[in-house]
Amino acid sequence: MEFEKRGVPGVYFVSSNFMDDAKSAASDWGMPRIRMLSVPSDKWYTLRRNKDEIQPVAAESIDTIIDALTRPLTPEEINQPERVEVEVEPTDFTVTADSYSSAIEKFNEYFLENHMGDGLPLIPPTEERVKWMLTGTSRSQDEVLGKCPLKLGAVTIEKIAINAVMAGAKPEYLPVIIGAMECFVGENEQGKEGEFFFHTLGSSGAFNLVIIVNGPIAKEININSGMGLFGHGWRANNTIGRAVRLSTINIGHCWPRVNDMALTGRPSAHTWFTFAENEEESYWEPYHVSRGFQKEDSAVTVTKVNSIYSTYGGGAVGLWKAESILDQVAGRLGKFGGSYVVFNPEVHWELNKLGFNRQSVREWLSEKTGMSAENIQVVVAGGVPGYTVVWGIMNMTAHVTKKVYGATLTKAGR
Amino acid sequence: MVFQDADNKERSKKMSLEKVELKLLNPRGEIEPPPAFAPALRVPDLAGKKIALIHNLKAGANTFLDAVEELLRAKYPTAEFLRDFTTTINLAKEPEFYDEVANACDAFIFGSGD
Repeated sequence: MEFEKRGVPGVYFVSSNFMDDAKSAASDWGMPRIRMLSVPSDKWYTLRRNKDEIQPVAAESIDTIIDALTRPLTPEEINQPERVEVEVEPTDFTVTADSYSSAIEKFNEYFLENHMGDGLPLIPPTEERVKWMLTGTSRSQDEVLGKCPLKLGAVTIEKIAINAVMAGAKPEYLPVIIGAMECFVGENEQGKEGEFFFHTLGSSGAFNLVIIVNGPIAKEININSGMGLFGHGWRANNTIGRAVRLSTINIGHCWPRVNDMALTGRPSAHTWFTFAENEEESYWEPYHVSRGFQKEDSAVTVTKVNSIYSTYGGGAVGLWKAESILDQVAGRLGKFGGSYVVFNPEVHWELNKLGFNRQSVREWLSEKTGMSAENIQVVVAGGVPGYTVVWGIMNMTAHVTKKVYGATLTKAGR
Repeated sequence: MVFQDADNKERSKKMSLEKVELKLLNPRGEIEPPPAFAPALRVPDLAGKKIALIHNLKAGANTFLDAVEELLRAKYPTAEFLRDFTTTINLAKEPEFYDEVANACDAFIFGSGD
């Protein structure tokens, strides 16, 4: 599109399975009538290995390519409105039924059919319930935080609260959810708004998010940082993560096969990996302090990671030494641009005995792998016994920490 | 917006006796419509033109462009093909890159390996 805007005609080719995504992006970026060539997916992925194999596909496409470059634009292509037509959002929906349970079912069906859910049952975001959710923050419900990918929907406190209700969150979680959503907005290094997590949310790879909470609010709202920290059974972990997930779906307008092209979906698709640092079991300064915040602050950090994690250490059954864990972690990291390492407490204790702190571990891993220490995130979490968890990261372009503030129902995060 | 199951006769009958109404707030973020642009005017013919073949570094796109170039060369022997331009995997480049490409070619074919 940037070439077209500069007066150069072109044609964009894309495999047929990605055509909806391409059309969606063309509209998002202001040129819904850009000329595109659909290359049949059933041939594309098996024949593109070399020129001879893909040649018949190119031969089938060549007339379309020439036509796209030389056929004069139609009036419909030339005469564009001032702005791309975008569906106007209603402020609310009304569901009527003969019983409450029937209304709940209709609401859930309607929201999912219209890409406003995550496939699990939702709590109805009634005015009353949203008002209750908003009691968790002193911030104005009309405050606009910025724009959320993929379609750069406006992030407001009210919209976050609506999604938090749908997720089943409690008002005292709302400041943390707001903090996490603030990580999605703002300009990246190229000055593009809402771009930090664009690739995470839309890529065909199964990229994922780690949401870690630090500071006193984590304990106050009972975010699990110990055994089972990525699992079910902790309302704060599960619904804070789910509220962020629903917010990216609804505020950001992300939907699979439309503009979220994750081929296998995203592991932990409904709640991301949401937990707290186990500050009680850590000798090191809390992670958010290493990110420039005060110890008494509460903060949330959202980081893009690759799809799944690897585990190291003995857990409840194996024998290990801290040095060997470090060697294994370094071996795992060699092929990535960045990494996210969660040391379980007992490995952390042993590292501490060996004289490591958070920064020196990062530097040690950097030296062993050639990866920049800046691109290696190290936290302490999990129970005793536990496993050391490692995610690779393709790059560290999406890694943001925000202070939690505006809380009204907790002592921390005010 | 009022949602009703118009297709379901049984439910429609019940609608007349409806007792529950849920007013639900919209969870979607408002999107500011972006400025709309028309595509660039086309070239009348590719003969003698400079055509940039650009891809996003992902596997397969360059191979396809190799085959396309071969076919276009056979059809337009006087055309020139520019193959040195690539975007990044997520397509992002500085404005200077787009200026450079736009100044260098008369038309372009772009695609991703995805």
